[in-house]
Amino acid sequence: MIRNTVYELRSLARMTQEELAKAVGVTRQTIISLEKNKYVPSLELGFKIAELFGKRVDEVFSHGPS
Amino acid sequence: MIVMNKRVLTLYAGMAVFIALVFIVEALVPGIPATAYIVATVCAGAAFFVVGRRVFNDSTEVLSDERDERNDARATAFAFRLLTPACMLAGMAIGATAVDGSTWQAVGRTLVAVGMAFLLIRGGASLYLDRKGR
Repeated sequence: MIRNTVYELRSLARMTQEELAKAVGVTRQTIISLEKNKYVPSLELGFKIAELFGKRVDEVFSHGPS
Repeated sequence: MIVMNKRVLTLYAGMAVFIALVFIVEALVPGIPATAYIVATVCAGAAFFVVGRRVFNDSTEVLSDERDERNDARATAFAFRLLTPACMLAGMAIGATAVDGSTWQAVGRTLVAVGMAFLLIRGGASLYLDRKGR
């Protein structure tokens, strides 16, 4: 299972879900699903999110047992 | 599911109004030939398509993203997996029970043909994507 720290990073950056969604070119619903670990993003979206927060992809997303 | 902003909702409302109008006109004004309805529907469909594309292209907010496309593909695949065997089974059942030369026999054969066409197109598309290295 792919987990992420998007919620924590967004909170630290004091961004709203809407702002994050606009910044990476997706809908707010996608950010909501992402933060709940219900949606696994494409590699491209993963890179966009990581770059936005100035992190490496493996610092934002991790793979573990389901 | 695409984001339902005002313009998208207006577009869908317009389509619903058109469909309702077709039923109302058909009920109130009998005798209009079927070709008139077909022409009107094709024209309206083309108009909604053009307007719809403008709504999507001109929108400043993201209405549909990779998650929507992925869910759409999954929903379409589910519908295909459900309907294709249902189509063929229904067609075979009708064909087995219908009287020779009856309309129902033609219906049964059409359903089987449609089901097989779905399978062939799916197989062809799958081969194409595989060869493209997708």
